[in-house]
Amino acid sequence: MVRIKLVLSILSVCVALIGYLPLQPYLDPFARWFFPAALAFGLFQQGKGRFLPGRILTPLSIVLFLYFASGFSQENMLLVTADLLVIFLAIRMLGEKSGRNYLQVFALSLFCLAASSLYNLTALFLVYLLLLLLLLAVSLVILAFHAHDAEIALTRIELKKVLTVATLMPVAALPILLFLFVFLPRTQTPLWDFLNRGGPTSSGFSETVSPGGSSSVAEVKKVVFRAISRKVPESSLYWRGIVLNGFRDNVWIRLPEPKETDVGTGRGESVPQEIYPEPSSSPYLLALNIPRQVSGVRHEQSKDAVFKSQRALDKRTKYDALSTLSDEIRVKGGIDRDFYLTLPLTVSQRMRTQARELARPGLPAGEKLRLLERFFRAQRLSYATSGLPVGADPLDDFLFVTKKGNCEFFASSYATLLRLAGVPARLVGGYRGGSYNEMGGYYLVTEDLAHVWVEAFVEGRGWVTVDPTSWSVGFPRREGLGRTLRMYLDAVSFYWDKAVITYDLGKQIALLKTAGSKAREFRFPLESAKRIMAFSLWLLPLAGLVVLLLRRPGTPEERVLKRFLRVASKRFPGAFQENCGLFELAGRIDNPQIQEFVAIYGAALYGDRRLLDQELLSLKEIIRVLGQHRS
Amino acid sequence: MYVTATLLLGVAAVNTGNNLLFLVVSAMLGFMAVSGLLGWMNIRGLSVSVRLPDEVYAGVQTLISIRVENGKRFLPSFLITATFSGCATSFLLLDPGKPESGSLLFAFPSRGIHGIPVALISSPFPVNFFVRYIRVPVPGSFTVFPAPRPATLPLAAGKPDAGAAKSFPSPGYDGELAKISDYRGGESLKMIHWRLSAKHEDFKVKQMSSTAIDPVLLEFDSIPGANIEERLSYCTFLVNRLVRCGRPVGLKLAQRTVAPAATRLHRLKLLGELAVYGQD
Repeated sequence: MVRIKLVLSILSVCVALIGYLPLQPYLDPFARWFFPAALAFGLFQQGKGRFLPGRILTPLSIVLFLYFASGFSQENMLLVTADLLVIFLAIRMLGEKSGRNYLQVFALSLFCLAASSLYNLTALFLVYLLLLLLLLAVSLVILAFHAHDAEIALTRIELKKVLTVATLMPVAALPILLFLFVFLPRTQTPLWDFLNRGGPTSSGFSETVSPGGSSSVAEVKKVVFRAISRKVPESSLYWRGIVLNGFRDNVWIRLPEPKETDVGTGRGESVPQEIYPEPSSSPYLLALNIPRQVSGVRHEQSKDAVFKSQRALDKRTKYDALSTLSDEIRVKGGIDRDFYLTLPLTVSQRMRTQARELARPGLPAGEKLRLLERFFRAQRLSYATSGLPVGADPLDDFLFVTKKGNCEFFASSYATLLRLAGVPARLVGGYRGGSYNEMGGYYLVTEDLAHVWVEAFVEGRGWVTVDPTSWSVGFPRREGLGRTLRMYLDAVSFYWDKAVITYDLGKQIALLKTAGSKAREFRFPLESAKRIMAFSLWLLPLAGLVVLLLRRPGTPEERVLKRFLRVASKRFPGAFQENCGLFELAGRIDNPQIQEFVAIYGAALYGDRRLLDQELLSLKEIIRVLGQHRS
Repeated sequence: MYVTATLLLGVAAVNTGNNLLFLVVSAMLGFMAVSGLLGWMNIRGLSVSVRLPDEVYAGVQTLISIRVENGKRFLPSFLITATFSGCATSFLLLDPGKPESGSLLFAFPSRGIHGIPVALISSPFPVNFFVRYIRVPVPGSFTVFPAPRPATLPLAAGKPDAGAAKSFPSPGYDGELAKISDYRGGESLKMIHWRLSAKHEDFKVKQMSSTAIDPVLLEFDSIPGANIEERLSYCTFLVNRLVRCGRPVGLKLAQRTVAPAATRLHRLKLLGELAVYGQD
């Protein structure tokens, strides 16, 4: 025998854990440790058969509530609410539990899980939700037995039956869940949008480039965006974000661009992309280099092919982009050369000397680019993310001393040398590369792929893309073990975002419109109709047979009796009454077939035996005769 | 509480536009719908029958046996309570096709032929937020005898006069334990042998010995009483008392006479006559 109280106690611990775990990383340290301590203490007390009384728990709740509520403000209301939910849940786990208390545990756990959705939008939430749904269903059913009699005990077989039926509930609720999720009303603009800023991920690339700020940079594998696109050559995988065209002291920044007219890109194939950026505080819209058109979010477009959203992309969204895989941006009517030749505050003498050799009058810009490439290659500069030069003149150290640096060093020094040599240049910030997910048909771009390259202005061609980092020794090739598994996991995450997280009023209306128009335009194709008809001809008898088998009474005796009663009631409709016994019927109707049937059937029934085959045949014959006389 | 929580989360979902909250609300609404359906199915397909003892007296609490069968093909029924005019008996689990029996004490208010009252089947399953009800008709009818009311015997009772031919043991209350028999409903609850009953499907009663004496013909019109019901009650008491003492008893009613006899079947016949007296 299994005591219901014990089962309920175990289930309530599991439910409370599922409420706590998704919220745990975001809690105040006190709340984070108070819950496991309270849970362990509560279980220990339960084992001893003792519980903390209400006269201790109630004041404790009040004190903790006042402590957390005192730190409440509009900025941290979500955190305080989450802390309080977990604290109350922990206190509930400390005390003795009546039916009402169990319900409180379940409700608090559900609210904790709901609160976690304001912090974390990963697909793991669905796992927690389904688990909680399953456990809540079982717990509530067990609680119904507990309310019937708290001391009740079930046999293992009985418990198994109860659990089976209880488990059926969440399974049956799943289709309703999906239906309601799609059709529950959404608003165009959320009223409590401030609640959705529980934990936005940080921005992708930096909006400034300042080599020498740190001796190492961390490579974070955090997702920046996913882009549905066809596969493009590896050499064309540059995701353009921002153009840094000027300086603040020695730091590359983006200044308001001078007036110029671009007339398009060089030759190259057009690649449409559907981009799903992770929430970030950066407003720059990334797309394959060189983006020509962006739609799906309100934005501003600059002449240097930079697209900037009018609001921060701190919510999950998507946009479409059209890019031309080219390394040139053509400019009509020239550029503001002085603007693009501005130099940083400090430039080392060695760099100036190096540039002077290139700055010979009459030397075309294209030739200067080639000479500078030769210089970079000759220096045997290597790519590194640690041991980077720091100090007063990091670019000089990079080019002539340590010869180690990341893309910021390569691009900054190259662009500065170009400007020194009289070639207008600017930095382009974005990402380089990306893992193509064959299953999902999209590129996954992570934080560690952040990259800076250079655009140099060449008369007659326009802005030409140059990536000096690619001339380095040991430029990273980012492929590793477990890539396939990572791709599968990422595909799940991607589709979760695409189907669930970004589902909004617009998609809801589009879905209804599509459904409506499909319904209006629906024409039954003649060929299909024929096929369906033919299929139905096979299917209908089969379905009929299944229904018949399901409906027919279990034993031959029951079946023959049912047939007899049906036939007899049609022939003698007035003689049948509810609950009329067979022998009473035989006495009431003076008919030899009925008498004979009752005699044979009754002999078997009251002899407590099955009908013999011969008897069964006789009964069927009687029914047949009885049915014939009807007409 | 559940409905309030769902509404609260629903408002939060709509106002934050957070799709995960929409998922939670959808799950809660889906669960609500499924639990409602399961609760509805839980109390459907149940048939109730009642087994009554042979003797049921108006106004006297009688132990009746309730048999509930789950006629569904696959789904068991849980936490079923069958209520008859305020008296209830519960069943924890009813497997499909396996009838279960329970018992309850029930008092019928008046004599005569009664149809069985409708059974009220209820259950809080699957979740204890609402209790669902359904009325299930119970087939059959039965006779309720008039309530016995003790009356002083207008004749000698107990042992025959001295020198009578013989005396033989017969059922009574004051003798020794004569035998154990099935509970038939007329016996005092004190006479139920609970320990034996627990081991059998039917209730068992102790029968004590007594002695028998000469036949008696009860003339209904001669029975004292303020009204017919009171006289019927005295008459019922006398019939029971005398027959149980082993004395043959007859009954003379306004239009018919039943000859004296001392068997149990005869006693039931007399009680049946009294039950329907004046109700034809």
